[in-house]
Amino acid sequence: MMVGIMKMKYLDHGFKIIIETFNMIAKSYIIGVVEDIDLHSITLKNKEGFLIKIEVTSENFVFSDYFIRPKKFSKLSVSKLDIIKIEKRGGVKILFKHGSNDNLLFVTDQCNSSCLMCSQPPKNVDDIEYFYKINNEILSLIPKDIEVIGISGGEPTLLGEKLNLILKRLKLEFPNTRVHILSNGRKFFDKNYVSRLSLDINKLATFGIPLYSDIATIHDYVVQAKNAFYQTAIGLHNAARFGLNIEIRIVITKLNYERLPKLAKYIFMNYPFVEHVAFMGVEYTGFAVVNSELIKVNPDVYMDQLKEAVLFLNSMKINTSIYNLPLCLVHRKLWPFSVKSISDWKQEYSNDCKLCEEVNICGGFFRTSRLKYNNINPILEKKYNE
Amino acid sequence: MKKGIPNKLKSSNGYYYLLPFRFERINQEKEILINEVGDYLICDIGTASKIVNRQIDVKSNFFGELISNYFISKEPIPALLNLLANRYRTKKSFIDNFTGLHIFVLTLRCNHLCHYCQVSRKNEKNELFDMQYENIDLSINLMFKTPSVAITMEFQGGEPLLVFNKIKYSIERVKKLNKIHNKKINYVICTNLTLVNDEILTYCLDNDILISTSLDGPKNIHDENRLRSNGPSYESVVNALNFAKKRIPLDRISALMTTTRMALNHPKEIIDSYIENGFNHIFLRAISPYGFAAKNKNKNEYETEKFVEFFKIALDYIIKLNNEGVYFVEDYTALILKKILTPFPIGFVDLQSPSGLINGVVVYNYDGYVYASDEARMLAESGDYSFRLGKISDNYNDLFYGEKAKEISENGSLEALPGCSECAFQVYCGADPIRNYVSQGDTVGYRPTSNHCFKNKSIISHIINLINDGRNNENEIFRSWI
Repeated sequence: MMVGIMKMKYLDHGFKIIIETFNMIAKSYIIGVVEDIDLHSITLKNKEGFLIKIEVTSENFVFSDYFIRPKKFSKLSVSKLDIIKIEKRGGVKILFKHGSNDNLLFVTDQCNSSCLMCSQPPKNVDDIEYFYKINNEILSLIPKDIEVIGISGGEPTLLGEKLNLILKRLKLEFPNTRVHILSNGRKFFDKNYVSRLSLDINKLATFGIPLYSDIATIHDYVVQAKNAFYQTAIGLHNAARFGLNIEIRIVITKLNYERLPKLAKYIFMNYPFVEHVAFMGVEYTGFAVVNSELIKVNPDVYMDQLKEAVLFLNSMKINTSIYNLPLCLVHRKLWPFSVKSISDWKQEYSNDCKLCEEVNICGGFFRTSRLKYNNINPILEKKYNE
Repeated sequence: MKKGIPNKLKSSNGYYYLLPFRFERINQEKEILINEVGDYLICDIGTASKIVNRQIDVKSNFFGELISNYFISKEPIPALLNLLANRYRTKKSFIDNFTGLHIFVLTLRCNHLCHYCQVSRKNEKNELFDMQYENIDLSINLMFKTPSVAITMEFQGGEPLLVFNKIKYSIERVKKLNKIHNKKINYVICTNLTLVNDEILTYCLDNDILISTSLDGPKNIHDENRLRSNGPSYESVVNALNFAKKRIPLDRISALMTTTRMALNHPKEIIDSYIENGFNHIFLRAISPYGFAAKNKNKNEYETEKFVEFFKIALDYIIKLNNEGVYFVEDYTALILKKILTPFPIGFVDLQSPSGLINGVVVYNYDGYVYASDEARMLAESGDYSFRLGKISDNYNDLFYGEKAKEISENGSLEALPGCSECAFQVYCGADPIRNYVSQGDTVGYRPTSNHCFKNKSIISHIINLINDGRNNENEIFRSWI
């Protein structure tokens, strides 16, 4: 049932677009599954099952990734069955990419840590209710058989009861979906909190929790929060006690690379229950750019330490991966651990990469990274067995 | 605070508190600090003294490392006390399940005449030394009383295959009863293999029974130690082994060696003979002073220093083999390594505190009595019944928690034994009250003259030095063993 057609008009003063609506409930945005799309119109089905057609009235404008833009700039990456949000002012945001394994529920911009290399700096805004509503709409629209979905922020545990509600909903409606939650784990310090969370959570869910050093003061400095190390350390044990699956995530910076082998040993001795350890290159955006002097280190500088740490954990039968580093900067012995981890929409390759023989198995770089690696070295011979 | 610009976090100053840890010099330059759960730091000599005298720079990474590894604390009650408690509980979790290894000595008769026989075997014809069916039934009932979910039922002798019908009877009975008890049961038969035939091997295969045999090395050494009434035994053991290998997977067959005075001079030959016979591991086992081994001193008594030397040469050789691409494990080293390098406990009764007596192992003997361990029944053959818990027909609680059991456990914890309580290697070692009793006259023992202590300390210290040195890939190799 078609309930209405919205017309979007471009007004000449600036890039302002207004939406003319009729028969629509007044709302600042519309969320729906893309039923049909062409350059000048999109048909969405919202969670009540109503079809909404949005047309751009001016010939010079088309739908693009993030905004309705003048035709010449446009490259449409929205496709059928994606879930998008169209804002009153014309912003288009893809909330859920059909067929992708990289979809997530973004729950808040707030965080109780302030990591020096945070790529998504926290904002002190009251946004929990806003995102909670959006995420519930997304959950109503996505297919029930999706393989994996992420939950990220900000810090999801700041949602309080609302996180439990989202997790409960996932558990009930998406029993076979792997839920991956990025949290700093500090809230897990509270045993009762973990105990309640464990009741609401799908058995397939995993918490990705950062631990940047075996030394409390270094970890606390990186996350810019006193006692964070103790909270996370105790939190990890509480999580294990109540059966939550844990992944430890280690972003490698100048502040922690020297002790990576010691950190690996520390993790094995104290948190041998973790199901995965990921070592991650930095995405140079957000705070990572502001603090680049403090944190930037080239992979060739830390490759020995990374190698020792990864091979150690692997020999102790702990599932280990390397994220966000192009293969040519990673020691060949570590290639089996390298994962194409950068989301497809953020991923790019350099000009040199065209020559590379291994480009197909390489994750490339962050398009969003403001500092580029200066020693990209295309691999010209395949040497799998080296 | 300006957005994204780092703040220096205030660090607390000055004083710190000591948590329980022990230390020991391991060579001319280094000492090892070991905490209550076995985490270690190898440091320059003098470090322990600096820690105790509060001379560690609180701003140094080493200070942070000492805190994370539970050696010191900034607060009187450490912030991570719960983690340490969890770690401790994990290390000691082998006690949670109580007795896991149940040894059944169905006969003391044997078709071998080994001069070092520690169980004092009897002539192969004399059926007085077999366990009665009634006692088999009662023993199985006792075994099922254990709270342990996973149990190992091990058939020893004598030569248990002389009474294969009784083994079969026992296993069939256990299988039936286990329909009620639902335990996970592993079966092991310790045999010299000479009596195996198709029927026995098929039964072992069908029931996933592990075969544990004895191989003392190459022909000349093996035959010197292990004779049959009709002559040497090496050929027949190797033939039987090859016969068995065709029917059961090799990982279901393992071998043990016993180090005699003669063996001390041939570590490499012994290891080579294991490899030749298809084994990828060996347990370098010193002789125990029980039974005939204690009587035939000329062949079996040697200084512990000599065994340690033998052990070191053998281990070096094994490491060399591993570096050449031959995966081969020394089992005793692997057990100690698991205690040093992992947060987990091991299920090996000789390296536990509280000791494995009753807690880990118990023996149902052919004579109708229950003993606290394999060594306890060995002693009984020499007329000393100190570690006999009672009759197989007695009540479970009286046997496993009775006066005798209490008496034995009295001196079974390293934490409370003089010379062990302060030993740096305590977490890596184990209590052996029976060994103390046999060699030194009482279950407490006296460490400065204890061969057992000397042997374990030397071996543990050697392993730690190899880990510290690591120049021959010891660390990678060791990790592949655990």
